[in-house]
Amino acid sequence: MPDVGRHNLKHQSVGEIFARAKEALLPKELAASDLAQWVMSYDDLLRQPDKGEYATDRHDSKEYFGEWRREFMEYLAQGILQPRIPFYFASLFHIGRLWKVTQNALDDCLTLESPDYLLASAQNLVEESRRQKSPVNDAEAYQTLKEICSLGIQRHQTILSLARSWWQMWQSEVGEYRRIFNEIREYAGDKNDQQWRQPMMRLMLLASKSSTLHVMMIRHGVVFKTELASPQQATSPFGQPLVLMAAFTLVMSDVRYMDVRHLEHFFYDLIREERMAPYVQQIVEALSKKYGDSNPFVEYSAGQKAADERLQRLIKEHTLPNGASSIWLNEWEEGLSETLYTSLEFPPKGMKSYEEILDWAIISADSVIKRNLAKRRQPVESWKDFLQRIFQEEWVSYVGYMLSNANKKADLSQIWTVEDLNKLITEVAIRLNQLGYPLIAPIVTELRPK
Amino acid sequence: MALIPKLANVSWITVEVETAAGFRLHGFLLYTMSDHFFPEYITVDGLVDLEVWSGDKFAIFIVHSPSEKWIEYARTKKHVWWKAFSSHFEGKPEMLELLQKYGSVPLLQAGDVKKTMREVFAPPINEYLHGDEIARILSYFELEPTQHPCLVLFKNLNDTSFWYVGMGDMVNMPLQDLRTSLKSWFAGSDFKGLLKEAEDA
Repeated sequence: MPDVGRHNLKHQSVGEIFARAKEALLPKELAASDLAQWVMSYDDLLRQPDKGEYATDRHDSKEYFGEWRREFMEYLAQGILQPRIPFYFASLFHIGRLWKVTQNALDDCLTLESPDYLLASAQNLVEESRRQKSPVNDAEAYQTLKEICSLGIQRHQTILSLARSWWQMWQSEVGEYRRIFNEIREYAGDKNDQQWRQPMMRLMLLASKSSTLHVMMIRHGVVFKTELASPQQATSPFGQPLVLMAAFTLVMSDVRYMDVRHLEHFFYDLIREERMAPYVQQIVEALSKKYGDSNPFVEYSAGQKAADERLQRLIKEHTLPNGASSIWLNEWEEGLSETLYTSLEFPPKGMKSYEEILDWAIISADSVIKRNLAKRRQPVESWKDFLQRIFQEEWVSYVGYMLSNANKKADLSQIWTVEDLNKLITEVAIRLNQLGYPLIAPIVTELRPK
Repeated sequence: MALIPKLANVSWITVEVETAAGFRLHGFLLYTMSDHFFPEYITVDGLVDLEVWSGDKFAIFIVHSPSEKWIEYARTKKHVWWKAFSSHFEGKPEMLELLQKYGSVPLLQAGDVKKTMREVFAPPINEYLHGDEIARILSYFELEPTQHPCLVLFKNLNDTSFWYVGMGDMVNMPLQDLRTSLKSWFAGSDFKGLLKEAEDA
């Protein structure tokens, strides 16, 4: 029988626990994100801080009279933002659940895949099948569970990469709203500053766009309830009296301050993106039909098969008309090593073993070549010459900079030399050629070109 | 200036507020997918049973993800999960049959716990059903992570006290026995005493 007891909480109320509990639904990456916190606590933006002992009479005071403009600006900005918060709130939790639940399920599948657990599960299945009087034999149970498990792993991995790509889109869209909102807040605080008009206009224009994330989620079968059913409904504020009033106020106010030239690029991007949207959708649909749950880039993971012309064609096929990557390309790119920069520093000589450095260098060089395959080939440049050029320009030269940067702070005993670099390049070229590259190790005469 | 309504519609959980119509207590059921056969029972008859047995002084709800309000979780609610799972693959008929026949029986040995195929291959995403999530919520209530399945009852959201009803003894009870035990408990003196205590508190 149930065990019943009354408990007293020491630090919080039941309601406060509910407020915290929603974070348990999200994976750590999302729960810790500033943008996610911003959307979850959006309601707080509407609460004005208490202004002290005269707070109740604040609206009649001279002090408040001076603040009305700031409050009005914030109300306008919030009014524009408010209709799209439910969509970003709902999608945050949908993406978060998809991510967290799938990650847990994937972990279970990976555990289950080990022979001991698979065998134990098969035995359980055999016993249950006997109980249900339709016996399955040991080998059949083991083999079928193994196959289902392998299908489960594939499926969960695909869903995880989808959730991650949605999360990127979510951050990009919400980040833009927050950036403009913060600009308005900043400018609205200065009584003599009219600069708030530009971000306010940008916020209205941005809010009039359909959300790409919303469109993508619908394409993948997410069904929104009536309130958020269409991308326009979910995100467009036009038609709301408040926003029309804001637009009217902005347009009819002193035109000397309405320098719309600054908005040219924004308008251009907005129109271009709107015009591209149907083509992007068509291509995403075609790619989904063609590739479904399998990722054609898998064999080209870092340190695996060498970059070839097929990979270059795949990258072009998966680069959408608006310049974004498809989910398959995006997932693959995330698995590659980072691009190198001239400001990066190599560890001082002797800090890492040569084997560690070589392992890193092979993966890094392979990743850098693959990341740069979308570049144009020069006239009469063969595929071999093209790869060689990328290797030298995008990897060898940057590693030279990195060694040189490390030397600035190093003791004499830890100085990297040109010979060290040449040795590393030679080893990397040999190892990459074993993967299928046709590279020749160039001879470098100085770490950093003068 | 009341131009902007507050974002009350963004709140993440629907809680029945205390009304003059007779609700005295609110409660929610916490269980994991491994608390067999609670998930199975709740999916089939549980919600209707609990509503009837608990009477008009008690409102019970299952905690869902906040996205539940805006998104249809068709796959977990209406679709047959094993078809949804296998639709992406050219699954063999015997594989489909296995998923259909044994999908809700805890057979898979994933570490120390046994899980069902549904749990591992097509888990529902809109509910708190995972061990670590339930453990975190239990810890907020200053309870041990293993004290599930359970009912947590409270009078209103501002309270700092609540009633805990542990149901660990009912795990692995066959569905019919689980139903009978819950029915007896709601009809018994313990639940009546608890309601009386709540009314007097």
